[in-house]
Amino acid sequence: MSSLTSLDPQSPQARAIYDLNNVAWVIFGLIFAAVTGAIIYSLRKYRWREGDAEPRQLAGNKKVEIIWTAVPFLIVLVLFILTARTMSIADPPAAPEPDLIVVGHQWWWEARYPKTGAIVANEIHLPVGRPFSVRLEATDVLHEFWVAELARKMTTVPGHPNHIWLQADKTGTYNGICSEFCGTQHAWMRFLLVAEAPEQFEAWQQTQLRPAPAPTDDLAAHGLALFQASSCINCHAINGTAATARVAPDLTHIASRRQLGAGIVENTPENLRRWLKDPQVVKPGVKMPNYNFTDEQLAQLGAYFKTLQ
Amino acid sequence: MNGDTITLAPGVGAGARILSDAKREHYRLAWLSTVDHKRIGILYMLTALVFFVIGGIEAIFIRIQLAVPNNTFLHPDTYNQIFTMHGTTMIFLVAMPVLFGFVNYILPLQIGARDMAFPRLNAFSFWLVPLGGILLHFSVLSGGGAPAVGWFAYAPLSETPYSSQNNVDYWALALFVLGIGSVGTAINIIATVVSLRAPGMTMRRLPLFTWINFINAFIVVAALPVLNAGLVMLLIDRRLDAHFFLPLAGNGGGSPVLWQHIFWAFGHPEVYILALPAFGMLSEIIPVFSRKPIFGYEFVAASSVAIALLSFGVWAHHMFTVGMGRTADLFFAISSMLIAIPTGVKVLNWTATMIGGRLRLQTPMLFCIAALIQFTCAGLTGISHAMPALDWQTKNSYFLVAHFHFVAVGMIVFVILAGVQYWFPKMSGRMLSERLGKWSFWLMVIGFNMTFVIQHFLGYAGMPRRVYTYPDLPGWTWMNLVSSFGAVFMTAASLVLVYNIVLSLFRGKPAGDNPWNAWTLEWATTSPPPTENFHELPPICSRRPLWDVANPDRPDEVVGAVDEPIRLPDKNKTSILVFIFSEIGFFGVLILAYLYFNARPQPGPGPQELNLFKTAIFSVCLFASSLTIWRAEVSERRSQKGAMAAWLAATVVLGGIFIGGQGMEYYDLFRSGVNVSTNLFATTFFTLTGFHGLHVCMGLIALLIMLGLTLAGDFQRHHSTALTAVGYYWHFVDAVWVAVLTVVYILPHLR
Repeated sequence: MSSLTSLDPQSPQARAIYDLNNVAWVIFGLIFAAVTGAIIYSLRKYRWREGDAEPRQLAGNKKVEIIWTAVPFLIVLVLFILTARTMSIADPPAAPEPDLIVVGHQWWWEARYPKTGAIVANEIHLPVGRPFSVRLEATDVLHEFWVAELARKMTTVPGHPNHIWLQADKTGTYNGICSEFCGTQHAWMRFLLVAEAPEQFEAWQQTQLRPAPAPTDDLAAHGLALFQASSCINCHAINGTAATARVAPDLTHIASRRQLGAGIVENTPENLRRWLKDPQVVKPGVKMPNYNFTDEQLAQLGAYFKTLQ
Repeated sequence: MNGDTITLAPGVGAGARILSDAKREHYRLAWLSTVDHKRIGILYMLTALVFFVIGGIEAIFIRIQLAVPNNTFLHPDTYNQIFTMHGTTMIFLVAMPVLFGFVNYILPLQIGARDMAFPRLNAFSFWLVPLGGILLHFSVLSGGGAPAVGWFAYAPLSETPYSSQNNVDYWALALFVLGIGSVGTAINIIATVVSLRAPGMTMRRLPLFTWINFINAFIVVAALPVLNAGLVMLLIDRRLDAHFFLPLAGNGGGSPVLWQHIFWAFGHPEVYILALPAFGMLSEIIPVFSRKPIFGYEFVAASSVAIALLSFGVWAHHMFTVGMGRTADLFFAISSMLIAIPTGVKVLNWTATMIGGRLRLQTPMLFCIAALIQFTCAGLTGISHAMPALDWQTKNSYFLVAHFHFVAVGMIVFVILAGVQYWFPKMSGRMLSERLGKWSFWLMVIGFNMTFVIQHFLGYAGMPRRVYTYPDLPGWTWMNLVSSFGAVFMTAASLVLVYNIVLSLFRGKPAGDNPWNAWTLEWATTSPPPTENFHELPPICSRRPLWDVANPDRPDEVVGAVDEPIRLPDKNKTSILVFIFSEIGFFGVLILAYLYFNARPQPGPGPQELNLFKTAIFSVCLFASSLTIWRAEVSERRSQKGAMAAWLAATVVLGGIFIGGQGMEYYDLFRSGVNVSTNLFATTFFTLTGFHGLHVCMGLIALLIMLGLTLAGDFQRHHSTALTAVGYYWHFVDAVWVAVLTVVYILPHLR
């Protein structure tokens, strides 16, 4: 997995910001060196020594002061022009129709592909090299969508859709996070962004569009029955079953995901069991309550979820 | 040069000697009831110290939790409460009180005044600080836990559906109370500087600490009421089910972005409210320890005015990621970059002051030099945040955390520590230990930079702020561990400082009047100064009166004429005008919110429910009352008691009719089922007219007091400025109604 750093840009948008950052820091470095240099110089040269008389009482120099007020104006002007240019590269206007709609929830991410109808959670796939126009929404509080290597960050505001462009030059898995404080589990509102070859992406999308297969063995069938009989279906959806709610992550392909709980643990059978046994232990404060499932029920649910590839 | 000293009128200093020793002992208790600016200043600082300990312990908890990845030391909710309280406490209960403490103590001394303009208002403003502090912490006792919404309490997280405990209500009430106290202090500072300067202390001769704090008081007066308006709206949302900041599913509702605009319209000026007093201290201490006057007094003074003005046009650089659109982003980018210029000019002035001087590297100067270098760094990262394209990556990351701690700790706290070391001798009569001072300086420099330099890189590495824990990503773990280790050094520095203060209070070297050979008037009296501050003042005809006394052979250039007379406006009039100025921010926000939400017709009740005809009649009554109070003033000037009472009574009756009319309108609306939570029209209507009505009622109370005093025959000539003040206030209330009437009642008819 890559390291989530804005200093390793992997898209034209992120690279534009990175380049501006470098230019800015050269300028800042020179300014810092000049000021610190003057201070160190005076510390060496003008140290008071026992018996020194009071120095010459120089109260200012208008000409010098006008110059050092004017020069920063020029620096600011240059930085402003560079910034405006970078902004248009890093954040061009939205496409008329989004390729992807990302919705922030407390504390997970929903991603919808409106052109195909696929709906996924916490793991977003992209075809490599193709810019995606992304609409950002929220259902409850503010969140912020940030994939440092690929794009600017942008707040998701309920009732006020925002937009970014998302593109990855290289295949790989990128880290994404929520960067606007959004309540108890803000720390674990992470997601993975998988950039893959176009044909792989198409295959992945087709998989995500398939409804869940009917369970073939008894244990899994009991799991599905339990799922539909419990209040699970008040929040979750599994395509092809009675569960259609959109309050919590879509579980139709939960077994295909790499992580659980928006990044808090790897998606292994053991972790899934721990989660179902008491989600509040794995992710304190998460909206899913503890259902006090018996070990038998946990086995049934586990067997069923395993079929949701 | 005029060599006469100014002898103060006899009797001014008599207060201190009337008391016997026993009575003096008794009045030790008087620390609680004091109205003396020096004692209040010290009380401010001690209060700040108490809350600094609390906020510091919270910081330590934060760094323990973040020292290693996947830490389970704190529950996520506990962590979120702690960082919210840390931010709120450090800003509102530590930084503002300690800076107000310095201003309270030093500013009247620097201008040769006996006290602040309004000593009792001063005490009131101070006591609101502990009250606010208790309110803020009360939610912990009330069982809901502390607020956990961050110090800027972004909606909708701060709204009832997402924060259902009453902790956010306590948070809002606490800030509201503290805001009132701050405005009170700022009015006092302005009135003091305008009206109580010693003979010869013209505005152009003011020491820079006083000058900058005078400017700063205007920022306080303009900015804090904006916050208070926002807090009131948040409380109306939370307690009365309104929707200022809470969007509703599908159908309209309020705007979370509006909260950000209101909060930062206060919040960014607030940054300068904290920074400017520190700039003032730098401008005093660096020259004294360089043995040279400040380089470019006029530039330092004028750049403070530029900062004050610009600070109100830059707030939305906190909002570059909220989706304001390209035009707004670019506007706030350029305005925010421009404010870097007057700030940068100051840094160059301080540096140039050192060049060619004779630098005495005692502890106050060491803290100032470190602050100067660290502030340069903070300013440069600040410019990077003003550039939206860079802010899009670094905002809400640890880079931002590092940036504002470089401002708040690297500059402001370092300068406060310089100020403590510099003015402690004046306040206590004893020197702080230089040896211990240098220990705390070096511990602080090492600790601070260890904690916060690395956080810039953590931010570039993608670590967001306000996370209670983090996964073990490359680089994150060791950087966090280093940062946490730095906190150990800062804690040690603080302990050494407190030890130094306690030790020096009892065993410190006696300071004498002017231990640093400084040049401003606070050093022209004893340490500590007597209750009445001065027995005599040196002649004041330059910016450094004590330099002129010490160097009669080469005095400073005289600023203005030698015996330039100074004009001191009446303090009552000054203060009421400043108070009215502060109300503009409050009503401005409420009126803008009304316009913002009613630009498009709302579903449900709207302006068509209102009866323009009836309201017009009541409005005429209110406007007529401006005339009657003017007649009352005229009668007062002519000493016609009877006529004055009659005109005052007429004013009260007219104001009463207006309030009655408003009450009837409210009653009709309630009967037809319209109340404050019905829709955004109703919410904004009741909020705006309700607060105006509240102001009318307060004016009526003031008028009744005036009337009572007149009838009791107590109204003598010397009260006339009080009546003028009430008159100004009453005219202002009428003027607000002109705006409200236009916006709420007349404008819809013009569409």
